[in-house]
Amino acid sequence: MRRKKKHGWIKLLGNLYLGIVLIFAVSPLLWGLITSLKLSKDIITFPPKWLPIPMTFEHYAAVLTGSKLLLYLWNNLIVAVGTIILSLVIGVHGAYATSRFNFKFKNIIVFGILATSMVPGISILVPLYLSSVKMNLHDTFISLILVYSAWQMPTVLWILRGFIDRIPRELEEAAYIDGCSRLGAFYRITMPALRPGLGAAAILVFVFVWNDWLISSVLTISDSKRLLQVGLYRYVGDYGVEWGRFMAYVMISTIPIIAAFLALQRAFIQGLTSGSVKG
Amino acid sequence: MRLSFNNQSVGYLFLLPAILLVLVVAFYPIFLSVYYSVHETYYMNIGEFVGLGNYLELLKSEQFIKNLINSLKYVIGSLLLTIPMSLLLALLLNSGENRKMLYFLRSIMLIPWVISQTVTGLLWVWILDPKFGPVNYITRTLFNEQISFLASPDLAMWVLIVANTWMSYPLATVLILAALQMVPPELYEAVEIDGGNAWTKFRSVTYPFIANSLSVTFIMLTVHFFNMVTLIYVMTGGGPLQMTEVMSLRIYLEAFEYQRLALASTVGTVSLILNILFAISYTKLLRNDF
Repeated sequence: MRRKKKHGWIKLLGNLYLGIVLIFAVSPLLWGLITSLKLSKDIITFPPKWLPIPMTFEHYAAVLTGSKLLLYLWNNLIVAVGTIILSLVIGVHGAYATSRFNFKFKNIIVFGILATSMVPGISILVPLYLSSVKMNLHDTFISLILVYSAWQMPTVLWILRGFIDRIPRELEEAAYIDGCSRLGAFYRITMPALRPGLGAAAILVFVFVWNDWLISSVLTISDSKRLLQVGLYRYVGDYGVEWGRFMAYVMISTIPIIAAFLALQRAFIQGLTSGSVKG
Repeated sequence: MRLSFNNQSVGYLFLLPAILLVLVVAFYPIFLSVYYSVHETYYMNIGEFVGLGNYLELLKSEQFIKNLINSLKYVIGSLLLTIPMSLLLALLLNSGENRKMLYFLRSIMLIPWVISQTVTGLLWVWILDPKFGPVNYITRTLFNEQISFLASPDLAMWVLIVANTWMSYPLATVLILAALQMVPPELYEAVEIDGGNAWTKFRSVTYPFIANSLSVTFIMLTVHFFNMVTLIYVMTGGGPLQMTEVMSLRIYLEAFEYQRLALASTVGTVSLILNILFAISYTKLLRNDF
């Protein structure tokens, strides 16, 4: 009887904690969403108006027509896809090599590549900026794609290697016996089996490129090459104090990613955990 | 017939593009950074060689000490909030009675992870707004105080830490949760049979299993926090009175706002060295534990 009572207390506290975390997680986003739907005069009230009634979409309309958000969104899409293609192609080959082959210096090389994730980004960004200017690559999509791909290489390698490790060698050997070349086995047997891994890696790369501010603000300067987060930051800087507009911009840039996350959760989490949990 | 994977050349070939990419984009700039740091620079032009002059000047400066302390405050503060929060959350989410409900809750609780630092910064600046924000509504109704969090030299850092925790706890939670899910349930039952309680379960079953993941999470978060720029730049820009100017932000400001390339590179190199030192000492600590 006593045990049940104790259990009840712990459960209550546990649920209370979950409730607090839930509120913590959701409030900034919810408040932003509500703000974006309120009339301008209702935004600057005290006490704050909790519900966006009357509701308006004028901020969204203003942002979509009065700013370059759509252009930046498009740019971001281009760069993200480019980065995914480059980093996945390079990464899958590298991961295959590190998983299936044994050669001299392999461990040192792999360690070296993974170690770059420990290098402070901003320290590298300064010389990268200068180099890109000197090489006439400043303010181009190419420089963005190259830098993002190099940046994400450790993550991509880590994830894909984890997935390849889990594909039994016997599969490739069977194909080899059936007359496939070694490379053929890789492209025709291993790669298709890697689809979930490639998907997980692609998603993580996409989120990184979508959310980046630092690299894109340093490497680009013109509107035609600008990315979403930089666009958002400049919008806020350019428009004084217009929180309705700012929050609309925020919501437009964020809600697609949240939706994608909720839909593809499993792939996200698989990607995150495939490398770090040693099984 | 065994597939021969002894071909050194194929292995190297497959790995070569990755090596090249990382060498050019990650390693080479490090050398450049060190190169700049030992020269005088005028805006973006390299001047004469000054050896360790820049370093000596930097290490003597008060601002540098401030940067270092701020970085320590930020990293340690964020770790102190994030790790216990995530650990507790992971344990609760793993207690798995109402599976569906937990899955739904978990989805929502993980959302901050996909929010960019820029958006996070803006959302928190707005929610903390001294005139119209809900947080100030609470402080004014309960304590009759209007608090301008980000303008306060004392409170700004705390606020940054909270915003950072908001952004970071989902990742830590996912990593710990994944490790928790690998613990065989029979072990818990065994402890129960032996008369153990929740604490014994945690100490003798849970902790040994997740210790490795906890370490990995800890090191990942530390590196991530120490090198973070965007969130702090967006929320405070380093102020007020440089009280939130952490080292990573200093590098950015020196390079791109004050155009002092040599100084930026010097701080950058120091930051790099600290990162390396931390990584080395931490892996040493890990080895000792085993």
